[in-house]
Amino acid sequence: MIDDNRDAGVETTQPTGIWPTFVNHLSARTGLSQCWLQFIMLLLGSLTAYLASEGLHRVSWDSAALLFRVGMVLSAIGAVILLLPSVGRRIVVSLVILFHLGGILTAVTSVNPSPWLSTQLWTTVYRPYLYFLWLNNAYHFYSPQPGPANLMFFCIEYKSDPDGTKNFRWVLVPDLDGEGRPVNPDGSPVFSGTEYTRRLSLAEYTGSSGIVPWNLYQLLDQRLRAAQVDGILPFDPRKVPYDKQYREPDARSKRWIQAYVRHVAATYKHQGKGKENLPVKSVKFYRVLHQILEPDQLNAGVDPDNRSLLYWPFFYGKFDKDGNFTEDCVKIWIDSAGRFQSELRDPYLYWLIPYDDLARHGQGGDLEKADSNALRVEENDADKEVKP
Amino acid sequence: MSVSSLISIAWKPFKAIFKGWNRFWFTPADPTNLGFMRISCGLVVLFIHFAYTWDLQEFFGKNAWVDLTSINEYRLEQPWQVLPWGWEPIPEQPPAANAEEEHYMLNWYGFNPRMAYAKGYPAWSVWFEVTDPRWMMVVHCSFLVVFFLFTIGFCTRVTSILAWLAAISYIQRAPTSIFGMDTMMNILLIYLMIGPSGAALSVDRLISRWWEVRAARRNHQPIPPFSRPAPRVSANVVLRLLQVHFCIIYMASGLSKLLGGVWWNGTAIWGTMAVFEYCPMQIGSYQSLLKFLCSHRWLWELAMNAGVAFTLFTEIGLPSLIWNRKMRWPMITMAVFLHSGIAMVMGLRTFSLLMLTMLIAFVPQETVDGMRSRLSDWMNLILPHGEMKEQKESNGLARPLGARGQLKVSS
Repeated sequence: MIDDNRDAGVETTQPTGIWPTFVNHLSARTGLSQCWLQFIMLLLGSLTAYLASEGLHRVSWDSAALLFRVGMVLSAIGAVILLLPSVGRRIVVSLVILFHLGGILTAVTSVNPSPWLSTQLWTTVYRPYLYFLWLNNAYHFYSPQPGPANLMFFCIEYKSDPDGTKNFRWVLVPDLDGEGRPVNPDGSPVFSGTEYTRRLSLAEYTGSSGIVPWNLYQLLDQRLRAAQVDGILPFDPRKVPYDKQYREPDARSKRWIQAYVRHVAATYKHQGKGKENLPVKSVKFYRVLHQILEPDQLNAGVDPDNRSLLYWPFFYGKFDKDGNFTEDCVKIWIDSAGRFQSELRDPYLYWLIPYDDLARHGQGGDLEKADSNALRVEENDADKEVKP
Repeated sequence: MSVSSLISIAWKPFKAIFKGWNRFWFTPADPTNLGFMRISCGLVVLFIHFAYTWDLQEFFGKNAWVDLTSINEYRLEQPWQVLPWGWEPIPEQPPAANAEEEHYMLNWYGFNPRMAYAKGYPAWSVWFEVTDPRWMMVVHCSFLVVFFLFTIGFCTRVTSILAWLAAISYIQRAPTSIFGMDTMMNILLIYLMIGPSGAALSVDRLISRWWEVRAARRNHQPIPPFSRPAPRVSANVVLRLLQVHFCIIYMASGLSKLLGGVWWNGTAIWGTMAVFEYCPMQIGSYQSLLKFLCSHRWLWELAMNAGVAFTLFTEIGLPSLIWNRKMRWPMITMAVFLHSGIAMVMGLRTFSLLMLTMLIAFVPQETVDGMRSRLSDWMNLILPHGEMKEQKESNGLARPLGARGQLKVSS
């Protein structure tokens, strides 16, 4: 479209590629100039795209219909541009370049802290364009600082046995085997490092930054009261301040978590013999931050995979198999005045659970009466631990 | 002073700007860089999507990690709020007025649809429509064929568009499984789709050459020489877009790091070297190296500070220094080191390969010509009739270049 170099005085060359050669041949046969031929073809293309879009709308393929509508508009604009003189084309292309690079700049600058102008431009002008092309990345890699990896732990509870034995399965995503190779929850290897990174990415989206709630002290009070009963104490606040031990995700992350829970509940069966078809009762979800080992810790001989020390599981809720919060965890309703209300009923919700207490928290107390894949660590006979 | 002379004085700086803009964007350029980028990007894209074969249902099926219902709600119903246009505070959510609003508010954690500036976003993905596992596999395999054809440059005008449409299908369907690699792949595919990426180093070019030779033989004319790809304005526009986009990526990445304390105290690199999930911590020698560094504080601090300085200088310096001809190669070399380091230490190999592919946009024309010349010399040794040598002499493969490393054209 902008390769017409007549004005630039570039020597004409043989067309390269199948399409230009085809147009060349067609032009020779019909006697129409290449420009007019391309104009007609683009108009025909635009019309075809319109018809396709209408047809796809009728079968509810809305995203395909959208694609053809975009194709229709682009073809029509392209046809008009073809008829413009070289200078006109350059002006149009220049405007498109400016619009495009403006969009990239708003995407880069619309992440907090962001200028008001950039945010408004992004929301009102560029959002559809950048989303359609998926160019809305801000490229803030490893900033403001490189952080720990996120992992996802799911504790699925199935229907209990008639003798009262509770049935659980822990699903860890992503996971590594003993030799550090990425594996699926069923133990099969993950095909490539790329697929492993995708699983890390899934976990990354569960933790979009929330804010410290106004009623943190009230929530802390509930947490400490529950700890007195269950013995699941928070970390020493002198080492990790309480506000760092509470992380409520934002609304978008909560929706992703609900989707993940639905997937896990539908996909992973109990591994016990004859228990494959046990219905899922609930799923507890933990976002686990695998803290980066400090240099002095490595120097002191701490294992980089020391889970008790470096795994920080945050409890993000108990859900039913459809991904809805269970009533004993969170109650969400619209009150009589039409206002949205939510009540956090589980005192551990969004709090850090020390890794050593995780199995107990997930499986709810008596670990001996449970059929679970939680790893039984027996360092000595007197100190039995059960860990995911 | 007359009005016309005043106008001409006032117009002068604008004229220079327009001239510079015209020269920067619209000088025809050799599409060989694009051809090479197409092959390099195509191979990585092919691998990335081949790897999906085992995870098709896991990521794109009806009950994927983000199931079909969730993603449809997200792309069609997600509320967008615009900040107030004046100084007034962001208004509170009004109460629901009917059952429909109640349902929406329960679904979107209290957001009243009346407060939404817009809902959802435009997105295309074949996986929104095709959900039967068998048909999904058929479509997926067809996409792999498209990526292969795009890589070899067959019907590139068509396959480049199809390749982007295919790749964006995966991205839009599973937005929480993507990371920097997909972002870079998408950028490359968009620009390679717009530009004449099949005009060089492609099957398309071989086919048109075959037609040329056949036509010449049919008309009993001498076989025309195998000319170099014609310089094109569109090739230049796309190369420039890639260069500018690459600079924006680097600048954003570098400047945003300055918000973080660990980039100022010089220890940030440790946070990229010791992440258990990304780094090769299971390899004994790597862990030994880290332990060795940690056991010598001075050495550790030196290494971390040097790493931080190198990263910040490369990311913040490249966008301005790479435009200087003398600094171009040093900056390219630094970027190559940076991405090689990311690939080896942080395990992001495909991401790094795609960043290096983008970097090809900065390779000067002289280098491309030199490589082509060497390639033709090498071909001479292989081809029995010395056809390439004859062509090199006849079409001036090593013709003199303009000051900016581009072919001189009369204006």
